[in-house]
Amino acid sequence: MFYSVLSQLTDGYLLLVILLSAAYGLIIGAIPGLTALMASALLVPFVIFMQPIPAVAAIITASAMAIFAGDIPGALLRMPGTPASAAYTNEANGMVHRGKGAVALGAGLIASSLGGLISALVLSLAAPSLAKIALIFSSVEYFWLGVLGLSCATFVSGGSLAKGLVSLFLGLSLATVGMDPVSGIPRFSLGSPDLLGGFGLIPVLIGLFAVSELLRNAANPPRAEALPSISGPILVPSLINLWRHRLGTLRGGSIGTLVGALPGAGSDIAAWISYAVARRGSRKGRREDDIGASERIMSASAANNASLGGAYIPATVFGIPGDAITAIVISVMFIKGINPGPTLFLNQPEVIYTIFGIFFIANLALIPLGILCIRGFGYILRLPRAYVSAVVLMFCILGAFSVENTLFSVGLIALFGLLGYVMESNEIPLAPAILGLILGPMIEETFMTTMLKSQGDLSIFFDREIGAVLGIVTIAVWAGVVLLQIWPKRKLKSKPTE
Amino acid sequence: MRVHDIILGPAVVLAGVGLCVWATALPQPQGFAYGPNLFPTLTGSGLALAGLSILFAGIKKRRMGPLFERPDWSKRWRLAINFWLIPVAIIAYVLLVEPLGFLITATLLLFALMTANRVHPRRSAVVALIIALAINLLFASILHVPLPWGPLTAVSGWLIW
Repeated sequence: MFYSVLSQLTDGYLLLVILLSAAYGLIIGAIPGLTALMASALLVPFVIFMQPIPAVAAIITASAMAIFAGDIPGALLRMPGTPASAAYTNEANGMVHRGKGAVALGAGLIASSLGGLISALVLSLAAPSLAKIALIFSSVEYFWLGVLGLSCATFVSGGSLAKGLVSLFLGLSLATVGMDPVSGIPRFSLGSPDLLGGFGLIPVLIGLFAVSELLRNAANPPRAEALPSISGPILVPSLINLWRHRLGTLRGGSIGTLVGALPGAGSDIAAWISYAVARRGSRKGRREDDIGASERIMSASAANNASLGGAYIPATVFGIPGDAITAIVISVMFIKGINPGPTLFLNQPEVIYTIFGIFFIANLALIPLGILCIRGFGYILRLPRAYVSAVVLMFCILGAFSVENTLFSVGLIALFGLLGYVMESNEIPLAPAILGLILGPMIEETFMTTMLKSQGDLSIFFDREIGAVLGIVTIAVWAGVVLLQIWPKRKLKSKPTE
Repeated sequence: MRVHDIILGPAVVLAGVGLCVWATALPQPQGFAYGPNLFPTLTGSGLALAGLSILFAGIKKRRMGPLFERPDWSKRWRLAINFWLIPVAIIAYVLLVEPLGFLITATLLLFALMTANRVHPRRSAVVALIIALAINLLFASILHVPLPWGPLTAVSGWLIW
C-alpha cells in the first residue's frame, strides 16, 4: 500500500493541482477581507470536475496557504487577511515597525508549516485507531457525537450564549426543510421541487461567508495605506527562531490540533487560545520584547494552521466536519464517491493515506511558496479591488450554480448573503448555524432510526457503553455551561465594590 | 444594520413559535413513535427560548444604545449603491442568464459592478468583456459546466472546443 500511496502522491497532475491551488490560496488569503473559507468555497466549481484525490488536495492546499497568507497583511498593514490571524496582528505589526518585519513574518511562516505538520502527524497516527473504535458505533453513538459537536460549536463560538443558540437553532431549523429523512414527508418546501432536497450546503456557505463578506467590504471600503518594506533574509532567522521557540511552536501545534478536532472551533479560536496560553503560561511568552512577541506569534501561528489538520480527524473518522472548510471537503468527497467514515479506512485505505500525505506536502511547500508570497505581497496588494471583488462575486454565482445546476441555488446566495450580513452585524455567530445545517439531518436520522429500533423507548440512548459515556459527556458539557453562566454573575454580585 | 436586543429577542421568539405552529400542520405517519414534526417543534422551541433570553438581556440594558442603528454606509449613496448592487446583481443573473446567455449577462454585471467602484466606464467595459469571455471559455470548454448561451447559441461552437 505504501508504494501505491507514494505513486499517487508523486503524480504530476496532482502536484500541478497542489501548486496552482497553493498560489491561489496565498493570493486569496493575502487580500484583506477574503478568507480561507472563501478560498475553499470558490474552488468547488473547479474541483467538482477533477478526480477525487486532486479535488480534496486542492482544498487542503488552498486553505492551508490562505491561513498563513492572512498573516502578511496583518503584519504589514495591521489588517488581518483572514480572521485566524487577528490574534497576533498587533504583535506582528509592532515588530514590522521596529524593522523586524522579515523576522516576524518568517517566524509566522515556519511556525505555520510546523503546526500543519504536527497536525498531519497526529491525524495520520490517531485517525486509523479511532476509526477502528468508530466501526462498532451504532446510530446511538452517532446521535450523541452529533449533539456533542453542535454543543461545542455553540459554546466556543464566543460572545453571548443566547445568540450562539439562536444561530444553532436557525441552522437546525433550516436543516428540517425538505423531505423528512425517515418517512419522506416533505416539510416546509412550499410545494417547490427545488426545496424538496433541502437547502444545499455549498450555496448556503457561499452566501453566509463569501457574499456577506463582499457586502461588508462594499460597505466599508478599506483605505489604502503605505506598505512598509521588508528587507533582510527570511529563512535563516526563522530557522534560528524555530529552535529558540521550539516548545512554544510545539505547544501551539498541539493546541491547534485539539481545538481543530472539536466541531465548530476553527482556526481563529485555536489561534486566540494558543496566544493566550503563550502569554500567560510560558516564561518567554510573558516578555515584552521581540523574543516574547516571536514566541506568541509562533504559538498562535502554529495553532491556526494545525487546526486545519485537526478538523480532518472527526471528518475522516466519523464523517462529522470539524469546521466549515472540512464541511466543504466532506460534501466534495460525497459528490466524488468517497464516503468519509470508519469504513473508508477499511475499504480504501490508500485514499485516506494519500489525503494525509497531501497535508505533509502542502505544509512543506508552504515554506518556499510563503517566502515568495511575502516578497511579492506588494504586487498582490496592487491588484485593483474593484476588479477583484467583481470577479469574486461572479465565482460565487458560478460556484452555487455548478454544484446543483439550478438558478434557485444562485438566488439562495443573495438571500443568505444578506442574512449573514445581518447576523454578523448583530453579533450572532455564523459557525453554529452552519454546523446545525450540516449535522441536523444526521442527528434527526440517527434519532429516528434509533427510535424505530427501540419502538419509542428513550432509554436505548444509555444502554450501550460508549453511547452512555458520550451521552453523559454531552449532558455534563451542557450542565457545565449553564453553571458557568450563573456562577460569575453571583460572584460579581457578592463583591459589588470591585 | 444593528437592532437592540429588545427588538431582536421578540423577532426570534416569533420565528420560533411560527415554526412550531407550522410544524403542527405536518401529516403524522401511522406506526411511528415520533413524526416528522418532532424536530421542527424542538428547533422552533429552542429558537423561542433563546429569543426570550435575548429579550430579558435586552430589558436589563434597555437604556444602552439606540433601538435601531442605521449602518454608516447607508448615509452615503455611493457606498449604499455598492452594497445593494451585490444582491441586485445576483438576482439579475438569475433572471437574465437564460434569455441573454452567460456571456452577455456576465459582461453586463461585471461592467455594472466595476463602474460602481469608480472604474472608468470605457475601461470597465473592455475588462468586463475579457473577464466574462475568459470565465465562459474556462467553464464551458474545460470544466464542462452547461452555461446557457442565449442569443449566441448559434455561434457558441466557435468558443467551445
